[in-house]
Amino acid sequence: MSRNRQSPDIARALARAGRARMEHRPRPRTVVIAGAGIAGLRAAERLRERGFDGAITFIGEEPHKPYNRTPLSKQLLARTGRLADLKLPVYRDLDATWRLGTRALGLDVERNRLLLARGEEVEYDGLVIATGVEARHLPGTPLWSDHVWSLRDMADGRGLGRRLADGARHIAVVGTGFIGCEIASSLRGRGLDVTLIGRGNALMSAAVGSQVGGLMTRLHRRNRVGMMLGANPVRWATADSRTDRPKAGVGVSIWLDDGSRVDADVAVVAIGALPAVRWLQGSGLDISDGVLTGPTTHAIHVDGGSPALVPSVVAAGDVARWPNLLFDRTPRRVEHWITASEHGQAAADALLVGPDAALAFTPIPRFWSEQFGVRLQGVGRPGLADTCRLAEGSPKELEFVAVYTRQGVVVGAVSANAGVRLLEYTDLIGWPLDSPRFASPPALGPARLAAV
Amino acid sequence: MTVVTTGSMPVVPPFDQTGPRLAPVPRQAPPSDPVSVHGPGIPDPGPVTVHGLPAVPDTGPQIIEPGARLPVPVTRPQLPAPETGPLEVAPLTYLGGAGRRADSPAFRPSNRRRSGGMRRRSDPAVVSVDNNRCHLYAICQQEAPASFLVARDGRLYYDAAPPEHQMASVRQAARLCPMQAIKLGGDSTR
Repeated sequence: MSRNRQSPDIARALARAGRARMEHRPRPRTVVIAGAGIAGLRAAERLRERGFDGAITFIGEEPHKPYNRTPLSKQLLARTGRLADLKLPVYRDLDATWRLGTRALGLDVERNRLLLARGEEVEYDGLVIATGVEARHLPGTPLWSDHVWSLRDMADGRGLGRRLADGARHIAVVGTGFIGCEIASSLRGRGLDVTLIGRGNALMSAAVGSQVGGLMTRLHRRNRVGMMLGANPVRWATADSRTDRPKAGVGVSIWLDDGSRVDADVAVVAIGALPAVRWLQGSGLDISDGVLTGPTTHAIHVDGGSPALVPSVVAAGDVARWPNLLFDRTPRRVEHWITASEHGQAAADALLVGPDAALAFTPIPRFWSEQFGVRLQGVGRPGLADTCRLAEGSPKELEFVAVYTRQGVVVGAVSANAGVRLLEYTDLIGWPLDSPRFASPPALGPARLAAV
Repeated sequence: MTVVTTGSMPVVPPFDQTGPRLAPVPRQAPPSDPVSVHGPGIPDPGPVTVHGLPAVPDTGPQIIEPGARLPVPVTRPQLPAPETGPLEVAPLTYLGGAGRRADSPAFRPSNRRRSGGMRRRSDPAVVSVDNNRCHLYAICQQEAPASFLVARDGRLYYDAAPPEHQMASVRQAARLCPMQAIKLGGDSTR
């Protein structure tokens, strides 16, 4: 099977959408949702809200029904929350079939069938791909070890919690994204020693830029989080290894590429996530960095050269890569919890009405994080920006709103401890900042921020 | 981080003088001096006052009315001069909300505040917000501006018994709440 390696031209695909397999399109009677996460759950709920009375089948790899993952790195790790916090409210009777602990192994787009283990096939009229992401790892990481954990699902959360209760004192956190920083904050709140190891020079700089990231770095420093920034792990040694053992009394040793070494009882690896698309190999869908979809969340079939939308397959949540026309035509993935919910709902709508009538899914991404009592909150895509400006407040007190622009156009805003003030900047997204109406303050430069 | 409601509590801090009285004054809030809301950036719209809110330290405009156009920050509070240069306080003075006329008041009490009409005491409460969980991310206000309001006094005001046609957006607010602090009556669990 030859796959088209070039990135497909979305505009061309859209132009072909009318011609692509649209001859006969009955209303779907059976919808299969691959992935029992928040996006899949909200898709099913929306289907029922729209009056869909056919069968809904969930194929979920985890043995649990959908639950809220966000407290895993926050309340649950900090031990301020309970397991009941993972419950998600549903306001419709889903009347779904739950195939939990079941992994989808393949997809036959031509015959509308999902392939499961032991040769089982599940036929669908509509398929929602919402398999989410899996934790990313660096090669050579001893994942099998009891001293090395990632934090992606409930099993990880339980295991790590048990391991920490076992008398771990010093935890090394690899990765300085949102999850890594939240883990560090939660563990410091329990009085444990934490060392953050990260590639970038500021915490969360990929998501919120180096300036706000620098402020958060200072916050973590002030709370006595150890930092090894600008370094990558190159070698590991764990106490339960047969070959590579650290010094006596050390659980895990991590050598970094700048020559230093971090000794800890437990290491948590939080270096991002990769879309769970291995099962879609050979299906003909474009799965380079997630399932590529059109603006309406319909998947794009590239097998045989000419890309075409598949009316019966939609993708939602962290696994989907789609062009948010609010920003530009470049397809990207978004890994925010709120967006995943909205994405699932939009995918359900798109599945019901088809690619011709469906609206483009153009949400404003929204995210939040809480670290050391500072509520960091963002809208839009600050990561796309080339300039970050302070809009109001005081960075020194960590109470501010920063506006992010790309070529003069607002693409996002981030606030710290200023929740409701962020709302009015949300409406600016997509507008030029230096139109005459607006007074344009000088950009936050690195020198300026050092002084802050 | 205070959530104010009871069975008959108001959705919003009430307004007087410039519009119909919409809801009773929250019992908890001590009466305070009226805060004049206008700034040098716009012509004085006349004495627009807020009763029933505790006095807030800054004299900036109050964000009160989420249902209507976004209230535009007319002026930012002048923060003390920074030691490190002009940047630290660089207010985007006219940022926020498009299309607002310069002469309209910063906020205006509105009859559309509660589109289901006045709520009666007898309406049972359907919505409740967990005071300990709510961290005022204001996602609920974005999703259901007619039913939730994070006011300038750092409290969440909400409609405990929203009219039926608002329930879809209230449910969406409950779904998307980052802290999952909003509970609805008849909460189903699959």
